[in-house]
Amino acid sequence: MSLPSSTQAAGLEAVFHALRPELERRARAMGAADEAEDVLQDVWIRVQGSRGPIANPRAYLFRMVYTGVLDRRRGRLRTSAREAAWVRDAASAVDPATSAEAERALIARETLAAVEARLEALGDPAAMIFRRHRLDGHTQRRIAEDLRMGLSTVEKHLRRAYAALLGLEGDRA
Amino acid sequence: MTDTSHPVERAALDWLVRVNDPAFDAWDDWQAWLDQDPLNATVYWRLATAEAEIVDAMAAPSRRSGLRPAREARRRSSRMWLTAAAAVLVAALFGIGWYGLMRPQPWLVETAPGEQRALELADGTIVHVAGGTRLRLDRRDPRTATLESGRALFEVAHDDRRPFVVEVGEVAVTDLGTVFDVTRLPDGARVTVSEGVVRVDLKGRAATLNAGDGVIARERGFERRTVAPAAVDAWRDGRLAYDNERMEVIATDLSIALGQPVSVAPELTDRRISGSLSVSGAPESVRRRLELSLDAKVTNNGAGWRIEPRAVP
Repeated sequence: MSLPSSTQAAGLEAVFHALRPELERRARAMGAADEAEDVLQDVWIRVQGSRGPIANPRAYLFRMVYTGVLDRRRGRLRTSAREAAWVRDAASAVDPATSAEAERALIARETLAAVEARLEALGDPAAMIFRRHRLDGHTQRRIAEDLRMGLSTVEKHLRRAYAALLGLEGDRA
Repeated sequence: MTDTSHPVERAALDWLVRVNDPAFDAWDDWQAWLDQDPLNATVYWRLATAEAEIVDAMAAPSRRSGLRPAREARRRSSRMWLTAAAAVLVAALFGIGWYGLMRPQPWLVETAPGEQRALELADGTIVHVAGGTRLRLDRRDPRTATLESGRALFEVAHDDRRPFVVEVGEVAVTDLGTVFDVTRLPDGARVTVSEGVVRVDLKGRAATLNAGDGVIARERGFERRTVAPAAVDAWRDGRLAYDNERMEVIATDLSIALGQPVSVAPELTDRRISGSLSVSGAPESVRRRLELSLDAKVTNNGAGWRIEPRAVP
């Protein structure tokens, strides 16, 4: 790439400013409600730190908003899970600090082991496609080209992997 | 199992697979789908948050390696996956420690409306107790429990020599190696099985249930049900899942989940409902989602809920 990254980043910043009202509207539509401002603030910080050429800045910014909203939802889930756990610990009056923390760490590890096992049980190519797509960040088109598969086949494998990981057992589509 | 997932879940999964592609650019279509029905958004975000947690957990380098004791991991993983509902998995990742946190102190376990508790019995059996439930336990005999009212999910530590028995009024539920859910109904009991085998006895009549089977046991007879094993414990994260269930039975579940009485207009008691109902959130949004899911008019006067036919426009 010939353009220095600062120029590209500046370009993205300009697009951000131009699209700001729309980005905020989208954050609200995604359910961010009164946190929409905060989501945009996060996006702005990430825009400033972003490097490299961006083919479609508009879609790129929409994705950043989406990720920001998703992260906030996840944060809320964690908070309420922590609070619920705290209430339970307090109610149980059983040495909460040590046993509960250790237990939770164990559960987290084993949940992960179960997740990995689920993926392995599914086998390749679905497991491999899922890892490339979600862990390595390859686009579905690129994976399709590499594996000489149709895009819809890649999508189908991904769908199976998601259904397995999310425990949507009945899913056959 | 055949295809039992909710159409909204299938659609949400389709969207999630597409949205997660870095090249995705159909944001308008996606938003339009979310806006179509509050249920769409609820289901979509539930799946999206759970999937994101899973991906993050898998990507964390400290967790990617390291062998776990195989037997322990296997035992736990089967336990984990009976809770397959993804939101429950998120809870597991982030700290609702269900197991071992609560040693059984009381003889009578009583939960407030809306409260949920998990108990580990001396034999290793885990009981998840729904809100508004009374469950009697015998500390000297950890292999029996009496469900006096409400609902509970049992993950039984199986012992061939000493079956685990849950008594629900006249109904006796005997575990033959298993995870099952028991709900006390006004005139009987409902039992659904997500793992293993359970026998249900009522006055000389008996039914044997395998994973995915359910039964409503009443004196006048047994009604069979088929359930998605993964949906058996969905109530623990505020979802009630049904395959062609009668409104009357759903109302009982709702009253446990919402912590308030739920009545049904007589002309609706036998209407059949399929799908998943979300009962968490602000009362008004619960009410609206119920109206959509049940295709009925739902009102809440603060002290109780009423389900009635939709007014004809």
